[in-house]
Amino acid sequence: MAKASDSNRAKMIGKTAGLGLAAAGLYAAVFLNADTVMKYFTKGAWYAALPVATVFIFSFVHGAFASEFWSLMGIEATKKAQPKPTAAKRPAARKRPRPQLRIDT
Amino acid sequence: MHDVAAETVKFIDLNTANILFLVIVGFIGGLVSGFIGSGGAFVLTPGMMSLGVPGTVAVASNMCHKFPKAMVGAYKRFKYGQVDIKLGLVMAASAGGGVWVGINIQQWILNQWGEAGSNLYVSLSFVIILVVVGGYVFYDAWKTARTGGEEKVCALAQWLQSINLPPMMHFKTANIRISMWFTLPIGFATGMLAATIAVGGFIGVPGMIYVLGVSGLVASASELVIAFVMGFGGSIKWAMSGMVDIRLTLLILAGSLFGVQLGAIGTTYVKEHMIKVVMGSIMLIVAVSRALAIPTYLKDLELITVADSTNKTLMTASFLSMCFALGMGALIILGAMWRAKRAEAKEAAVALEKSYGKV
Repeated sequence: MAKASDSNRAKMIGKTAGLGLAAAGLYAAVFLNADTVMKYFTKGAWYAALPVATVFIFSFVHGAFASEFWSLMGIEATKKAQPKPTAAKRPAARKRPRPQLRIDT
Repeated sequence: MHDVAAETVKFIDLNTANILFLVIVGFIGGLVSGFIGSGGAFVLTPGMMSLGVPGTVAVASNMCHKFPKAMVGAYKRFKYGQVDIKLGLVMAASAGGGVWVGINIQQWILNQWGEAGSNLYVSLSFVIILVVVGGYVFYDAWKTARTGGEEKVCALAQWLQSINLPPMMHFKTANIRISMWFTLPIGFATGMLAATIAVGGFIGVPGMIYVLGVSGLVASASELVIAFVMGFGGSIKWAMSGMVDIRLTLLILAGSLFGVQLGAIGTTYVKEHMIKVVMGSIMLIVAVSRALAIPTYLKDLELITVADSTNKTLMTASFLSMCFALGMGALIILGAMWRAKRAEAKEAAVALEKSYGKV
């Protein structure tokens, strides 16, 4: 059992490190080419897709890295992470006339 | 014509101090955002401006970090079962209208009274709304804590929920059933406030809690959906004008993506009313911070006279108290998480001991 948790932890460390390297690579790519990046990213009009797409990519990679990092540090949500439902009063009963069969005599 | 405008916009040179400042403030802003559903923007934008970033670039770059941060935070809190996506989207729809009106009002004030008038309007809005709403949120949190920590739906929300005004909408995660018409003003006000002071959540979250009857946990989580939609739309608009400094955005994201997830995790550890405590405290201190800046704007409009040295002191005090608001919020969140985690560890240790006893 100890071996399983050791290998789990090793996997976690590997995954975190991998994501960290990927995030660092992305940051390096942008900041080492800052002048070119700024030239195209601030051109406006259709070039607006560049900054928007970039932040999405960074969010996925760096966000995943941050998530794995906190898990590796042992900082995770508690088991009881389900919220209690809000105890609101039921709305007033609506009076809908029920269809009634009438027989004309 | 657009290229000329872009050329005249200055993009600052980055040094180590700037970089660290952005990452750290990004982290703290993210932490607060992940916990209360909003915040961070009111420090980041003036913070960037204090580094020499022009106002429009600061607003644009901040917004471009806000929507991915909100997306990551919303995803995390969705996994904890806290996000009501339908509620977030319904509110975001009316928020769009609010943003449009808010921007137009800003433009009109700018045309009538210039930048000083605009700053005064923004600051007065901050002070009035934050004192009234923040004060009530704080008072409610204190009341809840006194009566044992059980959140109750307030009378106004109960009454509104009982009114049958079609179309009625059922929000599953929020566990409320209410007329769509009552969601409109809250969403609209959120958008308007976002366009005015950059933080719509200060109306959105209390509005969802006290008017719609949603719990603090679900309201603050669903607010992240609204923030994502508004931020995404606004960012596209700013990016099309070439105003986004992607370097600033990415540096803030470097910190905030850590912070927002930590804040989201934090909500699962603390009692629900803590969200109101943090929100109320931050709102009240930011109100003070903005009030300190008002004399400067009155002086710029030549309505009062203020000595230059007093001016400088007030503006510094204003900025520092804003940073204090955010820092204090972060400390409350981290402190509450720390205590809760220790209590959990203690419980686990006691349970383990008991299980040994049984063997």
